[in-house]
Amino acid sequence: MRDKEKEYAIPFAAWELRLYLNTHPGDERALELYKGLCRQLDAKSYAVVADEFLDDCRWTWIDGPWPWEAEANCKWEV
Amino acid sequence: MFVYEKKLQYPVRIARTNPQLAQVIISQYGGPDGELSASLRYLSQRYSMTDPAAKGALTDIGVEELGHLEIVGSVIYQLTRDISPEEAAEKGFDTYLVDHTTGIYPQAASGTPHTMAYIQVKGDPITDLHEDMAAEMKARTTYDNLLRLSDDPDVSDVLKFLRQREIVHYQRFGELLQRTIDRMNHRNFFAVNPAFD
Repeated sequence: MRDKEKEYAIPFAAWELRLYLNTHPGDERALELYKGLCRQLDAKSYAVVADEFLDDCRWTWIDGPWPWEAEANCKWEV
Repeated sequence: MFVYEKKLQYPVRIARTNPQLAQVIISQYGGPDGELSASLRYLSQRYSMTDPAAKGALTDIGVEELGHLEIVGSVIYQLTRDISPEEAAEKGFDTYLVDHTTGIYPQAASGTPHTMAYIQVKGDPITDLHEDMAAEMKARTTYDNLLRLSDDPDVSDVLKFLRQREIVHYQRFGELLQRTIDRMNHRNFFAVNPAFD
């Protein structure tokens, strides 16, 4: 694959796996594939989730409180 | 919070200008079934979802649609780069140019400005997921129509990528709907809003 194709193709492949993992969070094979692609990418790539979501053998991006839920936030004390 | 990567998800490199084609492609920018409608629909619907998979999918797909909005804007930008007023007039682009020059304004091909009337957030996951599946199909049909109208291979290449993404999103929404229905009592699922009852 030419470099330019790689520049777009690898982030895109990772992104596709990310969408798949949202509806198949228990699919370990897909998660391993995703982690492998992320290792080839810059941490700032749009397809790469933060390290804290890659700790488990399950897809944890979807878990826990989301930013709009109170539990995900702290009070801002001055 | 939103972070911006300074690169398109799919490259856009168009050799020839074509304001007439830009005139119809703009419907995928600010039209009823375009990328702006899609992104705001999904990013707004995610708040009333109860299934974590739906919160994740609507967030990620909504963000991807913003990326597609940028791709469509880039196509229009390149199709209208440095055109002359005469070229604009003979291609029927003059009615757009008079109000927007070669700026990119969120409107449909008909000239109607974008409106939130194009989307709904019903606050009921089953209802909203049905709308999302319909939205992806409407977008796919719009790309089908644009591919019928396009005689430029550089443009058609990008349109085919965007069209394929709509089909994949449709499958993801279908999976979410199935998960939601599977979790509910089969005899009662039309009578209950899982986000409110």
